[in-house]
Amino acid sequence: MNRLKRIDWPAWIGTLLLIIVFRETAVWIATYFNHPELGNLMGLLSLLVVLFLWRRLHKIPARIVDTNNKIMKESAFAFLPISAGSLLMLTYMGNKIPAFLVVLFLSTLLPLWLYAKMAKRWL
Amino acid sequence: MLSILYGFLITLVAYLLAKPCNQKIPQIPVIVFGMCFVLLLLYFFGIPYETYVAQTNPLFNQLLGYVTVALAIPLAAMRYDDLPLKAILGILLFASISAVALPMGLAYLLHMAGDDIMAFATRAVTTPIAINIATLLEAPVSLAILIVILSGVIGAAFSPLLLRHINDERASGLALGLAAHAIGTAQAWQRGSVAGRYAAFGMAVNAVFTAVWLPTFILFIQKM
Repeated sequence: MNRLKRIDWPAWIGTLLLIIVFRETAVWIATYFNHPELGNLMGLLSLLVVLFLWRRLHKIPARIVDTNNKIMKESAFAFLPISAGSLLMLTYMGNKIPAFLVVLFLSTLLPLWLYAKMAKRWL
Repeated sequence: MLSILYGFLITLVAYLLAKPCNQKIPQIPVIVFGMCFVLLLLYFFGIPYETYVAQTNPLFNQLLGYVTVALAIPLAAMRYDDLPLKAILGILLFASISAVALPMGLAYLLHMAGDDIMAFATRAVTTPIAINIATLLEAPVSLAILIVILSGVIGAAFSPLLLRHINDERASGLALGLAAHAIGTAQAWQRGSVAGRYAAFGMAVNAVFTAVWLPTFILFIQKM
C-alpha cells in the first residue's frame, strides 16, 4: 500500500500521455502519407523538437525525467517476444549459422569495445 | 482478445522471473533471461512460437514504438554545454561508417550471398529504422530484423564482460547505444541513468544519421 502511495501518479500520467499522444499522432500522419514505418521515428523527432523548444523557455520538469528513467529501465520488456523469436529463427538457418555468427559476434563486440575505449579517452 | 491477454501474461511472467535472476547474476542481462523464460513457458504450455508472436505482435509493436518515442525525453534533458562536440561527432561518424563497413566486409570475406551482405548493412541501427533501410536497399527484411535483434542481444549479453574495465558510465552507455542499439540501450538503463542517457543519445543520432547517408550512398553506387 505504501509503495502505491509513493508513486508520483500525475508525473506517470503526464509522461505516458506525452509519449502516447506524440507517437500516435506521428503514426497517423505517417500512415496518411503512406509511410507508416516512419511513424516512430517521426514521433521521436517531433517530441525532441518540442522539448528542445520548451527547454529554451523553461526547465524540463525533473519529475517527468525521473518517471521516464523508470519507464526506460523496464523497456527490455517490450523486446521480449521479438528477441525470443530471433533465437528460434537462428536454428532454421542450417549450414549458414557458423559464418553468420562469426560476422555477428565480431562486428558487434569489436566495435562495442572500441567505441567504449574511444569515448573514455575523448569524452 | 483473450489470446492477446495470454500472450501478454506469458511475456510478463517471463519478465518478472527474469528480474530476480538478473539481480542474482547481474552479468547476464535481464533480456537474455527473459527470452529463455519466454521459450520455456511456450514449451511448457505447448504453444507454437508463431501463434504466440501473432497474438502479441500488435501490442508489442505499439510498446516498441512508445519506447522509441520515449527516447526523446532523456535526449532533450541531457546537458550538451559540457560535451566535447568535436569528439562526440568524430566518434559518431566513425561508428556509423564502421558499423556498416565491418559486417558487410566480413560477410563478403566469408563468401556470403549478396542479399545477406546487404542485410548486414543494417546491423547497428534500431529495428524500425533497419526495416526502412532494408526495404530501400531491397535486402531481405526478416534477415535484417534477425541481425539487428541478435546483435543487440550479443552486445547486451557480453557488455558486462567487455566494459568491466571502462569505469566511465558515459563511455559505456555511448558504446552500448552505438554498437547494440535499442537492446543495448535497455541494458545501459540497467547500469544506471547516466549510461542510459548516453546510450539513448548514441542510438538515436546514429540511427538518424545512418538512415540518411547509407541508402543514399548505396543507391548512388548501384547507379554508377
